[in-house]
Amino acid sequence: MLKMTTTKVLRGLYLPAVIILVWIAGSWLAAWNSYIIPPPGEVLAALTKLLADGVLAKHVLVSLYRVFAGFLAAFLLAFPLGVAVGMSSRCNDYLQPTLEFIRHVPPLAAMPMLILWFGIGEWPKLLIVILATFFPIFLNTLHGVASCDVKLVEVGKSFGLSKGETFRRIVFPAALPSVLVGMRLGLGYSWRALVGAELIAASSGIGYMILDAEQLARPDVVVLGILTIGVLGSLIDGLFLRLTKLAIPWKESEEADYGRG
Amino acid sequence: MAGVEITNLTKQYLVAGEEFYALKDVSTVIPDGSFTVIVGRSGCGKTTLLRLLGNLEEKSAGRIRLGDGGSKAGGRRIGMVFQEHRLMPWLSVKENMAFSCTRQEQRDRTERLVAKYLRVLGLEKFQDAYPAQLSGGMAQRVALGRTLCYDPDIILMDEPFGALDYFTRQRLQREIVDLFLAQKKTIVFVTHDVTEAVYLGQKIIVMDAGEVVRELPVDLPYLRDPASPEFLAVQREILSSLRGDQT
Repeated sequence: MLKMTTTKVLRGLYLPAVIILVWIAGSWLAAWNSYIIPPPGEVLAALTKLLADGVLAKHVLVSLYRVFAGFLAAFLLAFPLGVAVGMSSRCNDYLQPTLEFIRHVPPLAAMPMLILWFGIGEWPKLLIVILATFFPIFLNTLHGVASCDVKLVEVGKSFGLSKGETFRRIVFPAALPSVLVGMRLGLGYSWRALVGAELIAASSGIGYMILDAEQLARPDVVVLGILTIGVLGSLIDGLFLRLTKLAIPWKESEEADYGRG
Repeated sequence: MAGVEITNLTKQYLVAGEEFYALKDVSTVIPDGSFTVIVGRSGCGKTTLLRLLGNLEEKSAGRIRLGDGGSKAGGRRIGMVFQEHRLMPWLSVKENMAFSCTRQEQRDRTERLVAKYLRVLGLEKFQDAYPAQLSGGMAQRVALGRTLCYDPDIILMDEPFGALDYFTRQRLQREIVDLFLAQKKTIVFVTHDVTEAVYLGQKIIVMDAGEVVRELPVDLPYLRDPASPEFLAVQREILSSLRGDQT
């Protein structure tokens, strides 16, 4: 079992290794302009410098804070609403068209409006994250609650469970895997949308760091920024997946269905 | 000895604008502490009758009297075993069996019952497994255990062995008879399998097209031999009362 996972992890490392080798070799042989693709040495130097003076850490922490604050707020909105709409078809009738409309507007398209309303402070960024995260959590919660097997609900009825108990002991655990899938998707979306928002209007954060480096003609820092985004995104996702597996241990035996949707 | 009294029970639906009777004027008695089997072909109303008894559906007319509840106050507890196991996939075998326990003060009692029925049903080794890891027969045993841990006065069973293979089915039929003899609970068992009905039932209610067409007591001692002439005679009698309209 352990050997299997090690082999799998190794397989996934081949392609990055090849890319890095090509990068090193190409830079060494001066196969391309070092301004367009900065050599790995320069990017490493930028990394050491920005780590040493704390600039990278500052931008990363600011971005992470925005993602988590926005994610939390979105969850607090989306989860109860998803449950309410999932449990009542009438609620669904009222809300469906409006939500469908908002769903099709990319969060970044709202950025100019948000800047107009709130200035370029923290609010537009938080709202972008909320907008990006809300729908995956809401829709997956809704789906999870609405598709709870009525046969299981009937079991609760046959044991005389109250409505609250039925929700807590049957509907909620049945919906949990779906809710977690939504949260995981939302986390990914929020990260992407945030960096976008920071590229448009910000004075801190990873997105801002990239934009600033572009204006200062520092491609090494741009590459560093992109790599940081990718690595952080993967780490967050990996961490969340771990937590998910702990939260729904019964799914392991059922052939996990993560990453759908 | 009143048991469950069913009087003029009717259940009708509207299907495409037409009235359809799932049950029509059904009257019968289910004696206390008896093993009663309701048998009939698919769509004869046997499951509807069981679901009405289990309070899972609303009756259209008629009356169901659940007796006086013996020494207990507040009426009788009715437990149901469904055709599918309907176990909660997120709970282990042990947790599924304790599912009916909703109040803190029942916890000790439920725990004792769970321990007892894990043993009786031979599930001790599997107590921490999830339903997805169980075979069909095991899962149905757990479902039966869950209902037994509810400690009902009446157990309703809706073709609980219908989806199992022949051998598992036979074993569970024997086990349910043993349980019945040991626990003395009232059991109402629905099946379309005439052999199963005769193997299990002390009283057999034969249904057809929403009506009771025949009721017959079976006095054969447990465990019954399906090849014995008495067994075959009862089986023939049931079949002859169903022969009316072949479909």
